[in-house]
Amino acid sequence: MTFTIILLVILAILIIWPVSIYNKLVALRNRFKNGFSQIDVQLKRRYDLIPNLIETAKAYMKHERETLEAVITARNQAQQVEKSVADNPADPAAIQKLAGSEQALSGALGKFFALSESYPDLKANQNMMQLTEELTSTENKISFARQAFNDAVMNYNTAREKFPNVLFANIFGFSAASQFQLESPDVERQAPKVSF
Amino acid sequence: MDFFSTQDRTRSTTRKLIFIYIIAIIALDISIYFVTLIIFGVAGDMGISSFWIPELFIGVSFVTLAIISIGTIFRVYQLKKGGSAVAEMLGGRKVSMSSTDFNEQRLINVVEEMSIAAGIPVPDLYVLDNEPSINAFAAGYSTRDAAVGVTRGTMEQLNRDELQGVIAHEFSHIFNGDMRINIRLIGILNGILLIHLMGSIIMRSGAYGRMGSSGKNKNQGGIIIFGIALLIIGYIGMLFGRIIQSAVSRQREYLADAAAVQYTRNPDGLAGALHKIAASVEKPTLNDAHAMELSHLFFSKSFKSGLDSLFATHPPIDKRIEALGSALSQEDVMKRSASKKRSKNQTKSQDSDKGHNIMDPEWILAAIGTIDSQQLSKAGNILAGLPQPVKDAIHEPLGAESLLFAMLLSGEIEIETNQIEQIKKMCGSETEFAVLSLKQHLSKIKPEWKLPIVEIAIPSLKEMSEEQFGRFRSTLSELINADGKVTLFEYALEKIVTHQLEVVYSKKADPEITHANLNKLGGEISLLISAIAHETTGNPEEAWNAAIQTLPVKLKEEFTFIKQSDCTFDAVDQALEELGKSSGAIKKSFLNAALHSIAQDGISNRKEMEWVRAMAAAIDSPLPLM
Repeated sequence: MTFTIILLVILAILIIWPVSIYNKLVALRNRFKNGFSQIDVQLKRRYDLIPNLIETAKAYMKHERETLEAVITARNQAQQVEKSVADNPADPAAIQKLAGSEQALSGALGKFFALSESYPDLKANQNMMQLTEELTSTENKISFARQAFNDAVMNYNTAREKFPNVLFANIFGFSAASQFQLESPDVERQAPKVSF
Repeated sequence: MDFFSTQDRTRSTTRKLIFIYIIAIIALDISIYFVTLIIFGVAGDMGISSFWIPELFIGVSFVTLAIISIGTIFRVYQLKKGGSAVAEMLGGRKVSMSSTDFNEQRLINVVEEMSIAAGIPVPDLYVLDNEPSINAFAAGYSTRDAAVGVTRGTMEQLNRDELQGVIAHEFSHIFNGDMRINIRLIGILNGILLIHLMGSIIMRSGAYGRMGSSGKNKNQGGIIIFGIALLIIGYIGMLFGRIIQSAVSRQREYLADAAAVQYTRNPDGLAGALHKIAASVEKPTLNDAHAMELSHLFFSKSFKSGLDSLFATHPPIDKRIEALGSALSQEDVMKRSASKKRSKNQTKSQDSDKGHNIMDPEWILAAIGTIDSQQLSKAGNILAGLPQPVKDAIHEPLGAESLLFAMLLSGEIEIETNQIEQIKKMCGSETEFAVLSLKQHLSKIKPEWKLPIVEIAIPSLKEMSEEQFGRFRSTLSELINADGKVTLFEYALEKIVTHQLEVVYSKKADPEITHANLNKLGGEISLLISAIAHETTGNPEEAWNAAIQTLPVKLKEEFTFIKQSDCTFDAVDQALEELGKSSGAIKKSFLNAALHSIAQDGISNRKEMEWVRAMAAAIDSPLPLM
């Protein structure tokens, strides 16, 4: 009798325990996925701004076609990658790829802004000023959202690796997630720092 | 029924539910006892000597209770985080407030308008992407952790009026405290479900054991039968659970429909939504596995059952449309609006007599926990009237953070330079940049709108990570203390923000109700009313007396007017903490008194309003737009 009782109680715990671990990991995973959607909205906004920016600059920077095209190419590529990541931000490879393409885009933009320094007319253009301001604030929002996302990923990864969660994480298919790191923050910050 | 008494009533309904639950458990326990007795008595060698074997009964009861309570406690604990936990359990995706998707944007607008009008924090919004049918739900414990979810079909197929009708229906669930009961129900069902689940596991393991040892043990057969019996008992228990579930739920749906019409003054919206559900090929049933367990949460039926009349958690659609139709044609709707107009005219004439803006405490009190269509359109106007950069800022975390910082800038050059330096130091140049650009737009906003704007910014603030929130919190208090003193506005802002965000970041549970007697809170209420009365444009003594007159107590001596220097923010904080632990009836008496104190001199000034907004937020009471 006592044996049956103990057996049943153990059984109940054995059902509850993995389920609660599972639920906790799901909650943490949802949190960083939500975090990514916050980045995503701003990335899209940035992709929308860039063509306008280049269009405005074209009239002034006639001899810099290459640089302008490089920005557009980098932007298109980043947009492609972003679309695939948005479906599954839990995939570390996808996030790394996005980091790479965003890095390239920031680099191209940085070059563009450096060049635009030597076109005073462009700098004085009302439209250009407004677009730059908007781009700057969008990039700031991205970096804030990115920080929140990275914190959430870290929490998830830590919970995943903790004992006893680690015993179940792989069985339930909770793989490690990757933070969205942009390697040299200097390049990233260069664009916003340009003041008109 | 007003907001406070329905809140109190749901607590007692919850007690009733618990009573039914206990009876169900006892019944389950007894049936399991007999099954065990018969099976092991027959299969074992002992034979049935008696129907009453105390040791066996205690053992069985212990195990049954343990299993059921583990199941229930586990689920309730899991859902302790409130509405968002339920929404995520259903596979909901949180809608980003800065979404550019047209449908999501429209949903956000509808929900925000309604929240401002009703004066509750904006609930978390979720979309069920995999559900093409039209359905919606509300979940959570209180107004601060509420979540509202809609299916993709709802966003795509309904027009704005219909969507508003559906959301109004869900808001009425929030006000009626239905969500609290619903979560309890989920817990109860889960406990019984676990018995059922154990049955199936025992049956299977018994069957495996039998295959392995090829009938070595005579008990194996018994175990299988025991498993089957548990399975069946669990199943019957589930059926009873479902009947309780649907009985509780069905009546509430009619109430919520009626309330939705009352809020929007537009029965066509809700009726249109119901018509679309009735007409759509996609039945409102959901694909998600949790649909049955959580069916009582939804706007319309979320699962199909053969015995609809017994188990349906929702009344049939045509009945609901019919009920709306009769509400529509009923003259009393017109009468009500006519009498309302009349009373409005009366206040208006008083207005012109005194030449001040007057507010009617009775009206505001009655409006708590409901939505008025006029407030709804006023809220819409406020939102639409915000400068675009402010509107954008409200909807994303960095902007929301910066907007609040910008509101706290002192205006005096020296202090402000310090404050901006602080912001840069603690939160980085991104925040500094955003604060500076928002500062200029903020001056165009009417001061009395600032606190409602803070409330709409809350959902975006919730998207910060814990680290970011920590930084935000300490920067906020640095900015407030920058000039060495705390103004009322600063206090109110901090109170609202910390109270609403505590749920998310410090996981502080809802306070237990420990006070049911107004007289015991004499000191606290005296302090809070005094604090408001001192800000009156007229005579503080008179404002105080007007407030105390309204309190339904015999011993008015318990209440003493406290001098202004003693009404410190710390003291007020403590008093609010205590008041937060009191019943709805006490909160109502308090708010009534506070509103009378404000209204006494016929002028409601900004400081009085800031006090009452901060206090209402701290005790989780909605406070409609005025």
